[in-house]
This record gives sequence, C-alpha cells and structure tokens, in this order.
Amino acid sequence: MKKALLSGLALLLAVVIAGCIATGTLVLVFDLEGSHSSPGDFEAIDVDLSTNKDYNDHKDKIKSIDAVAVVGQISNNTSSDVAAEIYISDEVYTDPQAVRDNATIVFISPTIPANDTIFVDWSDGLSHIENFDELKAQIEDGSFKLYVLSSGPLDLSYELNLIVTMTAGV
Amino acid sequence: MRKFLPLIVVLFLTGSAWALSDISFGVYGGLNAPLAQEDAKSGTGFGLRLKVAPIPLLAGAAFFESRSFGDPEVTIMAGTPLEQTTTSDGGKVTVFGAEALLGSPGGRFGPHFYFMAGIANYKWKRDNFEDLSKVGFHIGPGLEMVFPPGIGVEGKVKFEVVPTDGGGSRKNLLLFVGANYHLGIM
Repeated sequence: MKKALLSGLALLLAVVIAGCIATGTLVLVFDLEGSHSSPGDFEAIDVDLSTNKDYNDHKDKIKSIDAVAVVGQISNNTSSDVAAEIYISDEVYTDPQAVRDNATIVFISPTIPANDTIFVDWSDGLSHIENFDELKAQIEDGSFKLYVLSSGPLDLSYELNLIVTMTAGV
Repeated sequence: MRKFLPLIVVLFLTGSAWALSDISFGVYGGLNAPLAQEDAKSGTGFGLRLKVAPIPLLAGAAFFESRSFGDPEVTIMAGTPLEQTTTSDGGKVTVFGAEALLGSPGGRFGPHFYFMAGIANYKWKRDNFEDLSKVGFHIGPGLEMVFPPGIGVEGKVKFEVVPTDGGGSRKNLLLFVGANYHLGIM
C-alpha cells in the first residue's frame, strides 16, 4: 500500500514537472489598426489576436499573461497638453463619453505637449498600463475593441503596437 | 612490507577522515542563460557556497547567487517608417538555496565528479514588471579538481526550473566556474 502510494506520488510529481517544463515565454507584437481620433473622427480599433499565427498556435495553451505594453508614436494635434487614454471593451460605442462611462481604461500615456509627438518604447509602455487584470482577461479571450481618447481636447494621431508577454505550453 | 602496514592503514584512514568531514567555502561565476524565454537574454552571475561533506559520497551545501539577465529586444512598427527595435529590462535575480551533492564531493586531492540537486528561493526584479518570487529547483553535474593545500578549481552546470503561477515555469541554464578553499578535517 505504502509502495503504491509512493509510486503514485512520484508519477504525479513527474507529470506536474513535465507539464511545467514544457512551457515557454513568448513576446508577441500586434499592430493596432487605426491612426486618428478626434470628436468628428472617432471609432473603435477592432483587435483580433487570432490573426497572429504565434498567438493562434498557443491560444489554447496559455498559462499566464505576464505583461502587456502599448508602444508607438502619438501626436497631439491640439494647442493643449494632453495624455492619450486607451479604453478596452467588447462593446461598440459611438461617442467618447459613452466610452468613458462604460469601457475600462487600460493605458494612460505620458503627457504629450501641445502640437507635439512622443514615442513610447517597451519599457515606458509597460509602466503606463492600468487595470491589468481586465486587460489580461481580454487578451486571453483574444478579441476586443480599443478606443483612443484624450485627457483634454481630442485630436490625436497615432501608430501603435501592443506587446504581449505570455507563458504558454509548447 | 609488514612494518609499513600500520602506516599505510593510517594514511588511508587519514584520507577517509578528510573526505568524511570536509568543509569548503567557494566563490564562482559564469553564464546565466534563459531557456525558452523571449523576454530575457543571457547574462552573468556570481555565487558563494558553503559545502559540508559528512560522508564520502554525499555533501550538503548552502549557496547565494546574484545574477542578471540581458535586456530583451523586440521589433515594433514592422514594415512602417517607424520600424525600430525596443528593449525592456532584463532584471536582476537573487537566489538563496541548498543542494545535495552525490558522487565524490569531498576534499581529497584529485578530481571529484558529482551530481547535484537543490531547492532555492528565487527572486527576479525587473523595472516595470511584477517581481517574481518563487521556489525553484535545479539539477546538474559538477567537477572539481583539488590541489594541495586544499584549493579546488570547479566547473558546474545547473538546469534550473522555477514554477510560476498558472502552471508555467521559468527555465535557466547556468554555467559556472570557480574556486573552493577546503578547510579539511574539522
């Protein structure tokens, strides 16, 4: 009986260790389609992560979403200093106020001076993430909408990527 | 020949006694290479180890290691005029642990080959990432050449696995060389 119990424990340990070892940490980069947000030109960025082959190959074997960063270039086309804000949701909203009321904010950029442009790199992009748990859940789901708003007058031009670090079975 | 027998016996016993109770202190350094981790690159590390060999085939050791990873890189805005490589922090790792050494881990002069297995507290700090603090495990072989008067030169390889939340793990390959001072019979 004792021998069987020990054998069972050893087998269980071997299975757990094997499962644990057969994983890898991946860094995936997703292009966020869209380039401009203003009150009169405002729309959702549809994100479907399954269009990325690496994500698709590992989608069913994701163990954890370890980090997410928003990177890229953002231009403030107004005469006021503002910060870009990115909201996430599954729903379609047609005006900025509805987004603020219902979606979840996941990124606040550094302040962008009036009529100026900033570039957010990987390290910076990591440090400006908000509500990481909601973002993780949406990334595991694979499909969501992003809305780019501003802390002040809304007239932003942007080219953005999403960098996702995740651990998955190989 | 017979009159030398007691002397030969004493010499053998002396050697065994050394192996029975060897204590050594060592420093080492080398390569810290992440395996299957795209968010870290190879770095370096150093360590300190106190080893006690109570019996000829077995030793126990406590160690501390301070290691770093290289900064990972990724290409963003691919295919656009803004395409560029960006980096994040590889971070620093501190490890406190204990390990068992099987084989020939003693302090007698000559070569000593052993196999080790250990457990350690693993802490990885990176700028803008959540700290990772977990229990890790490692296995690997080592070879030490001990010269008079008790100085050993050692090389060892560790395969390290650190289980993480969600059923994944971090895996590293560590290649170290170092020197030990054997205090001998205590």
